[in-house]
Amino acid sequence: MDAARPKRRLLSRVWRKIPPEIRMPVGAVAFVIALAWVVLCVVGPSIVPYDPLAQTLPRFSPPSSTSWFGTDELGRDLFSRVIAGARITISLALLLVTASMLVGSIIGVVAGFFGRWVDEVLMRVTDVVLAFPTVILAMVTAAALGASLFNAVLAALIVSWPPYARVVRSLVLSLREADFVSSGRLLGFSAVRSMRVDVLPNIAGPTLVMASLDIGNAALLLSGLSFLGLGAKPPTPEWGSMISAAVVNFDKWWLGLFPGLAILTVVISFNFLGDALRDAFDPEAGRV
Amino acid sequence: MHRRHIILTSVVAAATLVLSACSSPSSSPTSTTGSSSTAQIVIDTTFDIKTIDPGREYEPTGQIVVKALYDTLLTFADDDTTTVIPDLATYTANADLTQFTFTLAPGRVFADGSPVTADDVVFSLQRLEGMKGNPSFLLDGVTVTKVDDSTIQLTTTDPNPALPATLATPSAGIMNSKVVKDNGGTTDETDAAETFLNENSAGSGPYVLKTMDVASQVVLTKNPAYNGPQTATYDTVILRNVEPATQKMNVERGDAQIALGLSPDQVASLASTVKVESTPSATVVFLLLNADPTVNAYTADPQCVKAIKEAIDYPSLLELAGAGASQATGLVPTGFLGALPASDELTFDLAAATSNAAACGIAGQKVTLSFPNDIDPTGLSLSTLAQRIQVQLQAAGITVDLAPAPFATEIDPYRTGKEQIGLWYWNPDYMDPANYLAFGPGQSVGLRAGWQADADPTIADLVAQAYTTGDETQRQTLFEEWGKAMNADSPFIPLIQPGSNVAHQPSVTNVYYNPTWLINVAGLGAA
Amino acid sequence: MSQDSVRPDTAESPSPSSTLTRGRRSHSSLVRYLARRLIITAVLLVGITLVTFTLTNLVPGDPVAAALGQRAADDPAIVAQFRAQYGLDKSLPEQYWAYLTRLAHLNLGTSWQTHRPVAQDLARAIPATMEIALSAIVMAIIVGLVLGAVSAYRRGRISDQVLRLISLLGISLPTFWTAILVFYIFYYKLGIAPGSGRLSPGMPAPPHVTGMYTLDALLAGQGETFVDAAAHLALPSLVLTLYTVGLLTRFSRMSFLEVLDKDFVRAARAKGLPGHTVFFRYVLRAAAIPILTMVGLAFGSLLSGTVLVESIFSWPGLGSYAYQAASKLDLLAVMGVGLFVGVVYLGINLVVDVLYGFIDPRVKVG
Repeated sequence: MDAARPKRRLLSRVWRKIPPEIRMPVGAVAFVIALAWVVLCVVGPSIVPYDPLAQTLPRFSPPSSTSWFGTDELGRDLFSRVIAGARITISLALLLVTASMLVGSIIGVVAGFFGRWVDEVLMRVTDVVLAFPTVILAMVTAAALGASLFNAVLAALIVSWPPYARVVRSLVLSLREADFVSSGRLLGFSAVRSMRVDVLPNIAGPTLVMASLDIGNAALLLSGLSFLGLGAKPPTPEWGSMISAAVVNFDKWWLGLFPGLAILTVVISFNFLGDALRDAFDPEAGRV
Repeated sequence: MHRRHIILTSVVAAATLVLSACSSPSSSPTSTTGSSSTAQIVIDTTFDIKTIDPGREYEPTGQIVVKALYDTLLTFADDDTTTVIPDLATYTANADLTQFTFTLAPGRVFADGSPVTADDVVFSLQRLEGMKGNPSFLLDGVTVTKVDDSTIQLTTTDPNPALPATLATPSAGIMNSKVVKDNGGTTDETDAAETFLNENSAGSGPYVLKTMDVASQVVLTKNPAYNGPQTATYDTVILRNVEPATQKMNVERGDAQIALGLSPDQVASLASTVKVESTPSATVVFLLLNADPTVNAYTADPQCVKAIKEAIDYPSLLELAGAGASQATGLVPTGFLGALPASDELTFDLAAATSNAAACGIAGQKVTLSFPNDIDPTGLSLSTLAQRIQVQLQAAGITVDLAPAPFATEIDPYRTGKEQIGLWYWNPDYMDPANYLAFGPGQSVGLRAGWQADADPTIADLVAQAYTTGDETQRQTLFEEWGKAMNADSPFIPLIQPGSNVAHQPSVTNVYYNPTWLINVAGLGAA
Repeated sequence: MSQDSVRPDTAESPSPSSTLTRGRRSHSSLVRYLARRLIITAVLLVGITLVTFTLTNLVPGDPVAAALGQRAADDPAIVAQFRAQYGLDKSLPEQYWAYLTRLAHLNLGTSWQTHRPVAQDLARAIPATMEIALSAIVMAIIVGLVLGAVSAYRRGRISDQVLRLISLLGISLPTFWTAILVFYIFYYKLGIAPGSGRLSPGMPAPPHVTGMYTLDALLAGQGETFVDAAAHLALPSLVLTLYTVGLLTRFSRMSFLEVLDKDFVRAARAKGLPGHTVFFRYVLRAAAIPILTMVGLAFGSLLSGTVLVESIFSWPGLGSYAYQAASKLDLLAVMGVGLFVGVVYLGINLVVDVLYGFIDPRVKVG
C-alpha cells in the first residue's frame, strides 16, 4: 500500500526493482518499443509516407523500398496504415482500461464498503458477467449496438470491469478491518470521509498496477472484436480488421504479418512494463 | 512429406491401373488425393445450409445437395442456362401461358425402387407451395392437379412465362410422397418431415444422402437405382464447410478437388496446377439510392442520383472483381433474355458528376452507405468494393460514411427501405428475366429503395407488360426497353456482374457453374 | 480475446466463487453450503439467459428477415407462419417466460438457423471444442508447471529471465493471428500438418462415445483414425496451448516463489530433505490451490476463446457455432451457448472449491 508515497520516486523505484539481467537489454528494448509506439500514436499520422486511406498504389505489391510493408487489396500503403493504426489501438486500449477501472472500482468500493445486501447483489451481478463467455457477450453487445470502434469499447467494457470490482472489493474489505480505518470511524469520521481519506488512496496503487497489466489484454480484446468485424469500420486502419482482411489473401504474407507484429509488440511491451511496475510497487509480488 | 504423399499415391494409382484390379472400396481415403480415382470427390465451399428439405431449403449449399438428391420435372443442361430441357417430364403449354401440362417420363424410379408417379409430383409441388417455407413463393398463384397417373396440370392465375424455369429449381424437386408422408409430411403448415429429410433423402436423383452435418460436411453416395439421363462419375461426394483461405490451400495441395468459394484475388494467385472455370455469374452487384425524401433528401433528388451514377469509375471497380467479372450492363445479367449490350452500360464522367453533385447540393453533405459485411457474392468482398466507391464518390465531392453490419442485422433496414445508400446484390431465384422485374417501381425490391409505383409510370407500365408477355421476341424487346429506362431513371446503379470461379484439380472434368445450383455434382467427370 | 477474461494478476485475488467459501465451515455444514451454491448457480444461470435475451432483442434487426430468405420475408403468410412456429408472435416477456418454462424441462428450444434443437447442435459442437480445450489445458498444465517450477527455482538467473520472456510472449500473442500464422507455415509452406477440419475427407468418424474423435478412435481401437484425428487436432490445440502455457507459467512461478519462501519449506530444505521430496511433498501441494483456481479460470476462457481459432481451422465447434448464432441473431442458440459456458464455469468453480478441501487440510479443519 505504497500509493501514498511521492510519485516522483516511482520511476526510479520501478527501474531499481527490475532484475539487473533483464534491466539492460530486454527491459530497455521493451521500454523503447512501448515509448516508440506511444510517440507514433501522437506524431504517426503526420510522418507517414502516404495517406493511409488513399488508394493510389498498385494492389498487393510486396514490400519494397517505396512501400516498406507492401500494399493492400485496395492499393493502400500498409506501412502508413500500420503506423496510423497505433493511435487507434493504443488510445482505445487506454480508454477501455481506464473505463473498466473506474466502473469496476466504483462497484467494488460500494460493495465492499456498504456490505450486506448491496454487496450480495453487486457481487452476484459480477458473477453473471464473469460466468458469461467473454467473446460471446462482447459479440452480442457489439451486434446489438452496431459495429463501431466506440461500441466495441462499450462492449469490451461490459466484460472487462468485473475483475476490478472483485479486487477493489476485497481491498476495501481488508481495509475496513484495518486499525487506522477503524480508529478513523471511532473518531467520528463519516463513511464518506473515511472512504475518501483512508480507503481510496490505499486502493489506488494496486488498482493502477492491475490496470497497467491490463492494457495489453485490452488491446488484444479490441483488435479481436475488430477481427470479427464487430469493431472498426472500414476504411479505418485498425490492426485487427487489417488482419481480418488478410485472412482470405493469406498468400500475401505481408498483409497479415505486419499488423500482427504491431499488435504483438504493443501488447508485449505494455505487459512487460506492467510487470515491472507491479514488481516495483508490490513488495509481496516483488520477487515475482 | 507432401511430395512423398503424391508419389506414393501415384504409385498406388499406377499399380491399380496396371493390375487392372477392381477398385476396392476399402482403399484408404487419403489415397484418392490428387489421383484420378473416381471413388470420391471432395468439394470445399463455405456452408450456407440450414436444411436439405427441398420444400424449405433456399440457400446455395442446400441447392447443390438437393439438386443431386432430387430430380425436377424440367432442368437445364450443364453447359446451357437458357433452354429448359425435360428431366422427369416433358411439357406443353397453352398460348396464354396459363396452363402447363406435364407428362412423366416412363420408368423413372425413386432410390427405394418405387416408380415416380403423378401423385408424387402433385404432393411435392403442393407441399412446396402450401408449407409456407422459404421457397414457397416460387409457386405463388399456381394450382397443381393430377390428370392421370402420368399427367399433371399446372394452372396459373396470370400468364406465367417463367414457370418452366421455376420448376427447374432444386426446391421444386420431386419427392417420394409415401416415404415423406410416413415421416410426417403434409402439404400445409403442419408438415413435420423436415427432420426426417435432413437425415434421409427421398428422391429419384443420381445420389442419395449418406450423412449431413450443417456445420461441417455433407456426404452423398451414388444412387444405385437411378435410371435417369445423367451418369454420375464419383461414388462418393463430400461437400465440406471450409473458410475461403483454407479452401485455396486445400485445392492447391490436392486435399480437395474443387473449391467453390474463392475470392477473385485468390483465384488470380492460384497455383498453375489448379484449373479455374471462370464464367460470368448471374449475380448483379448494385447500389440502391433511396428515392424516399424522408430517408434522405439528396439520394431522393434525381440530379444527385445522376451525379452518383456519373461519379463511379466502373472500370476501376471492376479491377477488384477479378477474372470472369464484367461491368453489369443493366440489372438483368448477361446470359438472360433481354440483357443489355455493353454499349448501354453506365459510364464514368467525373466532371459532370462534380458539377451535378454541386448543383443538387449533395456535395459537402454526408450520406450513409450500408452494406452486409459477412456475405460475399461469389467471393467478392462488398467491404472492399464499398471502400473503393467511397473514394470515388469523394473525388466528386460526395462524402460517404460506410456502415457495415452483419447480413442478419442489415437485411431488415434494406427490406423495409430505410437505407440511404445500400450496396447489395441479387441472385436470380430462377433462370428467367421476369425475376428482375422486382426492381421496378412499386415492386418488392423497388420499394426497398422507396420507389413507389406512381414514381415512374412509364417504367411501371413496362414492368406490367413484361410480366405477362409470352412471345419470345416481344419479351426481349420489352425487357431491353425496360433495362435502358432503369439505367437512366431508376434509383438503382448496376455495378458489377462478378465472375463465378470454380477452382478444381485437373483430374476433374466437366465443371460447369450454374447460377441456381452452383454445380451439378452428378455432371462432374474424371480425366 | 480469451485472454481478457483471465488476468493472471487478478487471479491471486479470490476466485469468483471463493467469496462463498470465506468464513469457516465444518463437515456438517458442507451440505448446506452446497445447497446454497446450487441455488446461487441456478440464479446466475437465469441471469445469463436474461442478459442474453435482453441484448439479443436490442439488436436493431428483425431476426425473421435474417432467418428467412429475401423473397420469403416478403410474403406475409410465410413470415406469420415462421413467427407462430417459433413463438415470436408473442410479447417479449411472454417469450422469455416460455423460454424459462421450456428450460425447466431441459429443453433449449429450436435454432432458427439450423432448424434443429439447440441441444442437438450443442451436443455436436461441444465435444469438438472440448477436444481442443482439454488437450490444450493438459499440455499447458504440464508445460506450464514445469516451466514455472524451473523459473521459480532459478529465480533471477538467465533461464528464469528467458522463461519469463517466453511466457510473456505467450500471453501477448493475438490468437487469431497465431492461428493463421501456424496454419500458413505448418500446413501450406511446410506441409507437415494436415488441412482443416477434424478428419481427412472421407475418413469416417469413429463410433460415437464421447464425440471427441481422438478418444473415440482409441476406444474403438482404430489406430489410423486416431493418428488422423490427432494430427488435425495438433495445430488448433497448439495455438491455444501457447497462450495458456504463458498464463500458467507466469502464475505457477509466482505461486511456487511464494511457497518457497514459507517457513515450512525453508525448514524442510534446511533439514536436508532431497529437492524432489521437498518439491512434491510441500511446494507443489501448497501451491496447488491457487494454481488449480487459475487452471479452472483458464479452462473456462479457453472454451469461449476458441471462437477466434475455430474459424481458421474450419473446426465445427462451439466457438464457430456461437459466432454464427450471434451474427445471425439466432437467439435460442446464443442463449444455449451462454448457458453451457456458464454451467461449465460455475461447475469448475464448484469443483475447485471442493478440491480445496482435499488438497489443503486447513480448509477442512477450518
